[in-house]
Amino acid sequence: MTLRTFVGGVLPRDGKDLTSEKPIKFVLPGKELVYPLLQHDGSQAVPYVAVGDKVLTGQLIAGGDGFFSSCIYASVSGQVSVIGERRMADGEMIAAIVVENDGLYDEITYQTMPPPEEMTEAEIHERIRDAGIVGLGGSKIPTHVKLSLENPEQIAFLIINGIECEPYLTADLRILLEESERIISGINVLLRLFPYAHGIISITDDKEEAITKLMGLVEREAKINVRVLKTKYPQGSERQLVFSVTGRKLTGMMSPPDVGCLVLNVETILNISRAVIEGRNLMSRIITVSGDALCEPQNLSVRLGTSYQTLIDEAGGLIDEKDGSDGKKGKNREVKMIAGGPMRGEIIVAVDTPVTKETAGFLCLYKDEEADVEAACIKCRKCISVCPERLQPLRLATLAEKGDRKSFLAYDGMCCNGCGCCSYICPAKRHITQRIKAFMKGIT
Amino acid sequence: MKLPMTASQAPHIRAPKSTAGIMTAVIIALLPAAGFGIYYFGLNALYLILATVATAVIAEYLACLIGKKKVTTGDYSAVVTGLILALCLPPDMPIWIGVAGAAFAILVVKIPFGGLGRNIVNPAAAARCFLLLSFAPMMIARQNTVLATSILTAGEEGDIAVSLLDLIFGHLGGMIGETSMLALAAGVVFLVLLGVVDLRIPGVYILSFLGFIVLFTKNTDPVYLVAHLIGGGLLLGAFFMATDFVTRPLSVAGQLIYGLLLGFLTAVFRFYGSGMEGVVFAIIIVNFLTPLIDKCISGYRPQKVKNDET
Repeated sequence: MTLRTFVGGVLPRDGKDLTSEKPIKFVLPGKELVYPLLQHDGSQAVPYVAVGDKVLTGQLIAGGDGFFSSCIYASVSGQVSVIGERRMADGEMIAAIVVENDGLYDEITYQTMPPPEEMTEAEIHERIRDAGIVGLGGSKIPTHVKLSLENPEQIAFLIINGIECEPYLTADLRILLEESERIISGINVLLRLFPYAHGIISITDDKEEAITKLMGLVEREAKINVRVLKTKYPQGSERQLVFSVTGRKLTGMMSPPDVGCLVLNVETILNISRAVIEGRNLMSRIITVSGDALCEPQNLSVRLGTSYQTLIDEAGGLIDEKDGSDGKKGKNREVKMIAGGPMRGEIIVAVDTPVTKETAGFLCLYKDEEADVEAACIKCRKCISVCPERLQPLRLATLAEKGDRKSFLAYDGMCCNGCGCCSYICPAKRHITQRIKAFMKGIT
Repeated sequence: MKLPMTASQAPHIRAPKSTAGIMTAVIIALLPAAGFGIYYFGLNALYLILATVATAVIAEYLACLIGKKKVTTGDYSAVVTGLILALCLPPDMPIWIGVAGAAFAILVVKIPFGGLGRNIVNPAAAARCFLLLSFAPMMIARQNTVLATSILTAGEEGDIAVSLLDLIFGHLGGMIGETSMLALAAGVVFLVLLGVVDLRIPGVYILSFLGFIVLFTKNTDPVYLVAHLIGGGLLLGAFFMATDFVTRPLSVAGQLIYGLLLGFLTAVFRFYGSGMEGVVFAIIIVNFLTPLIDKCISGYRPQKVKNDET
């Protein structure tokens, strides 16, 4: 059987073998937890606590400001020590609440939820919103915003994104394996909101164990299917995924609901399930901490606000910082730290910064010396053949460099989804994606 | 954190393939043809190849130094240019002519336009034209003795005293690297398997060329047609000059038109012209048309851009 897929894309070395067999492990945070008030697209949350206040694990410490915003909960018990600007992983300064961890992890008493069948649609919407859930697959949009459609009847496919096409990352795979029951119940909750929708769990053919497990579980479910897709990057990118699953094409500035689809990441679904059925709020993320520079890569369940340094320590530290077995010091190679996957993730400039709702992964890779030297474009056409949006990246990059906005738009430059395939494949190591993305930022 | 940290923008990983890797693959693909030429024609062919390649590399190195540019000999593109040029020289050519050709390719056709990636025509093809025009007696005198070329000029008569096998294995006169269809094919198969080139341009080129030749001559004798493929460097030109990334169009449709134009012009030059060097002239002319083809078939969709203040 040929697997459904999209045109273009690349097959980078996936590095998933480092962590794919490792069960999710819980990590205790350090002394200080930092909760930035903005952890998604939209407007900043408003603090509900003051310096010196005692907080409990699971307590609401900042509320969403308006509709396009999200609540923030304390992930430890302790005392609020500072409310002010803090440096984030990408170097930006953002207002944050800092909580001194007392190490007791006293929890609030959670309200018991009625069974989801007895809740009204409005109640489910409200619960998802109150739980502070945002798109955990990288969309950064508060989930209640994504779910609030004018016309919920238009959704025919609720696509659960279990693709995880980014190299190294295995957190979604572990969730599918370890939390598959919660995923199914989460989908059932959402299907209540979209009466005509069919739930489709999409997964790539390299995740055999998870496919078998899910296939067994969905046998009892009338409205949920598993759809196996070809392993390729960027299969998990929203537009490509919608096309691979349904054959419906998204052009221009269309979003999935325009073709009757709604795409949600598995971790988002997991948290929706926890929020609606168990009354829990978003306080932790499941993060793959991996990369060739780490001693023991792991899949970790991390409380939000934990510093990246804790994650490095939990993964056994950096290889080059340890003494070698022959007693010699490590090689002191330059390390590149990335929040997210290696194709789309953002660089981390300081490790004493917190994990947020946006953190989709944490990688420590060695610097790639060759990739720093740009050579001349030889028009080999590789970028064109891998572009999943069927654009002409080499031309867009040139236009971006020139600042030719009109031509950039005429060549559909705004359709770039920033997947990075062109830069990845370029034999001259040109920074194609980087140029296009920077130029797009200037336009919008 | 004691280790030095580094920053970059996504994507943070790159495919292992590099420009130098692609060029190395092309060089390896050309080696069977070069080896056969040396074996068949003798040591002068070897000296000519070495001198031409060395000249191309040294010329590029010096030009970069003098122009205060980053030295780009590390991408091996100069080696490819020198090697392709050497393969389309007569085996008993004086070495200094090969040197002059290589210097022309780099110093006139490639570097002044901005080096690799910016040259308008294929340097090797242009240098071959340059040698043909400047040293016509030497190139032509030697070519006239060449069996394959005489078949070409024989035109419609069709009585050829040579077997198909000889043509395929290359047991006949000609330029150093152009005689053995088998050696060239081995290189092409290697490149196609590696995914460096595809057969779109050479396929359309060769098929349309054969089509136009049959149309012009009404001669469908297979030996005659194979002689057309082997004599005068059609294969080398189609697979190694016309597929040059830099000088071919980008779009698939553009590449098909490019191949078709090449086939047509080569057939015209072969049939109506002097009958020898149709290939390089066709390549150069169509190279000049590439920017036009790219502009016409570009995927450019004029859009109304909202009027803004800037």
